[in-house]
Amino acid sequence: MLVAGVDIGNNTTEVALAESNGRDIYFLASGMAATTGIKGTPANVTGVKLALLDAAKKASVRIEDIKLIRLNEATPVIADVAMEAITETIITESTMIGHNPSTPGGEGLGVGKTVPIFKLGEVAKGNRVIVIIPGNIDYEAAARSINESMDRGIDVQGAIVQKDDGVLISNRIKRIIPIVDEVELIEKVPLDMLAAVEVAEPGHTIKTLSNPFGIATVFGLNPEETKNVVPMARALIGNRSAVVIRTPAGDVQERRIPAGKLTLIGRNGKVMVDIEEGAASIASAVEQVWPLEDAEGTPGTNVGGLLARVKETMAEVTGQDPSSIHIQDILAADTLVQQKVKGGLAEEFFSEDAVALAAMVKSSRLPMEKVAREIENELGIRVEIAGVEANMAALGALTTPGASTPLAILDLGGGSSDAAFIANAGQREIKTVHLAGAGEMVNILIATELGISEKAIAEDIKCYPLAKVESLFSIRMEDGTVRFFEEPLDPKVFARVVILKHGSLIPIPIEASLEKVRMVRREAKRKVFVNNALRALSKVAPAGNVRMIDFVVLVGGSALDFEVPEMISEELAGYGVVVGRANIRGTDGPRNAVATGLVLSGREWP
Amino acid sequence: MRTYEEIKPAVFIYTVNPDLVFPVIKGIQEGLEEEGVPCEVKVASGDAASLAIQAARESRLGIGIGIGADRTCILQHRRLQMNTPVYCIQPDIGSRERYRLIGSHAARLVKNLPLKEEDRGARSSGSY
Repeated sequence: MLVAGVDIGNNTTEVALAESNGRDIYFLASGMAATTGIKGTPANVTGVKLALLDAAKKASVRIEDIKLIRLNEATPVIADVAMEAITETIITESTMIGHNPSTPGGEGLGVGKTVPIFKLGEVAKGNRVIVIIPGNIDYEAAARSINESMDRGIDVQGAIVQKDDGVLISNRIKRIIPIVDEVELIEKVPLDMLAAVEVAEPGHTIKTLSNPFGIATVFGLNPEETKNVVPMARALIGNRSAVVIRTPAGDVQERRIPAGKLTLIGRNGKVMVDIEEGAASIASAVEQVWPLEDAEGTPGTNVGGLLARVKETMAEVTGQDPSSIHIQDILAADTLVQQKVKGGLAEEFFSEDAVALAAMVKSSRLPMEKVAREIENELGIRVEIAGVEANMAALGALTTPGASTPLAILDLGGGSSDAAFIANAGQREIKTVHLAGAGEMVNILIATELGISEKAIAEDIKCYPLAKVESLFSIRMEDGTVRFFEEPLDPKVFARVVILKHGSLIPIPIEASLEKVRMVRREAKRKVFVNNALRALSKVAPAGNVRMIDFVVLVGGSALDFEVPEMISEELAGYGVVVGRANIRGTDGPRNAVATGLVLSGREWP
Repeated sequence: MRTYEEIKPAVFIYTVNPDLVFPVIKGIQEGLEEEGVPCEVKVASGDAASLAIQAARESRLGIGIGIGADRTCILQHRRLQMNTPVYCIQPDIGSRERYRLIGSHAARLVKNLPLKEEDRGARSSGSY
């Protein structure tokens, strides 16, 4: 008899196809398809059908030959992620230009009143000025007019240019002055105000304008005013060029946004925690009240929205009342968000502090019967709903060559991280835990920290190693090895950081070094996967002690990641735990554990 | 003939007649100058593609630009084939900004920096 185990997961639907005579089971093939709709809804049927077709094709059988489908009794877990920025930088009355053009002109520090270039003729002798050059003025004309003014005895101290003309102008004027170019919104630069322009020599960074006392010296600020320019100075650190303009009401503020509070209700009490306090405080608050029974966020904030959204989705899926759905886990991670500065003149971006949150709800039972009936109608195959998902995953994981009980399973998926601990194979009750935060959260951390808006790119950064294109014929991989190509590479990827995806090179659309992107990627994985692995294992381990676990088998899509298993392995080595990626039935790697378990659990025990 | 070591490192710009294509050369030179990479203009014969190949092979930096009599403008790298240039501007669509861009591309190939995107600076003609 042909039996198919079907596991509908959050992201993928997996099938294990086997020939069974009741006692002996021969696996024929595995199949996989993307899950259609939310797990546990009738929309899943299409995905199930595709996965079955995939497996049937590989086994050279027809779908109609399948006599029995064993379906997972899924624990519905829905997780979602949100960001909450907790600082915000606002420039009022445009006092600062903090962008970093690749080729500013000249060098040094210049201080003077801002004057548009076509009004240079009206400036009296001896005045110190900073010239503003809009894009419709040609660089040669600009240089000529600066030279004439210098000859007339006007002390031209520096220039702010709209086009990328800094070096061209600098090469044509008599004295070396600092010139900042590529200032997009030059029309917003206030006129007749005292301004300072600084350009560092190549390979150096600015010294004066990135130092609050430097700014104070330039503008003659009192101690109170000096305090106010600290965020400005801090924002300019590391730049090769900068402009600071002093306007009467001008200011740069770093504001802390009221980010809302989390109310955590657990079996051991109730705690309120400010999102502002960061991930560590939130994590310890969750632990303090563990097991979590519900959570609420301040309405009108991103946290409040996140928790409400998760509850609503679950209510929709299970057909329950949203008020009867409770949040069961929250994972927080500190991060930085690249945000455009409000009131900036040159599209400046600042890194603002933020907290990313993942929340998870679990309801006792999914209406899988509905899905089962739907599949029976659609395909005309008998469908059985088999045992608890964790038991099935355990049975499947045990088909990994070399694995035996006692065994812990770590299932790292897209939405949640789950763990189970089995003392022996015949055990009925397996200790399991579902935690918020997995692959999706890593994507969000990568996207926000690098300032990437396309989801697909963030996903690719997570999944594939990086390389830097070093010449039109070679790339240097992130491990330092160099790879050469016969055919020239696309000039568009030249000198860029790229993602190596199945032999093709996808340029990362931001200016960041390979090291930076790699660090952000690995940190995101550490904050989510390594952190959750420890959290999950300590909750299922005997006596809550991770050291009591001998073997951990990684299953699920994120176990396929090229570095996560190593990172977890490294972390757990300190606890004396052996960690490995599952190899289901010796062939399927970390995938197909539940589907395989479903087929195996149908065996009639003699 | 100078030996290879005696040739100053520069991006070579080869053209049939520099006077005829003066605005093109000026744009390219501006692009290179803004990026701070030296260049040399030389007279040679051939069409844009072969001029570019010659220029790239003779430049110590391995980067050359060929300008045809019809103002076709081609950016080449020493090791690329004639039919796969780095960048090419057809004669009828050349603008000062684009010639400057090809100069900037040449400079950035030398400096090992990512090439600028095509539409950047399009906004820069804004009024004050």
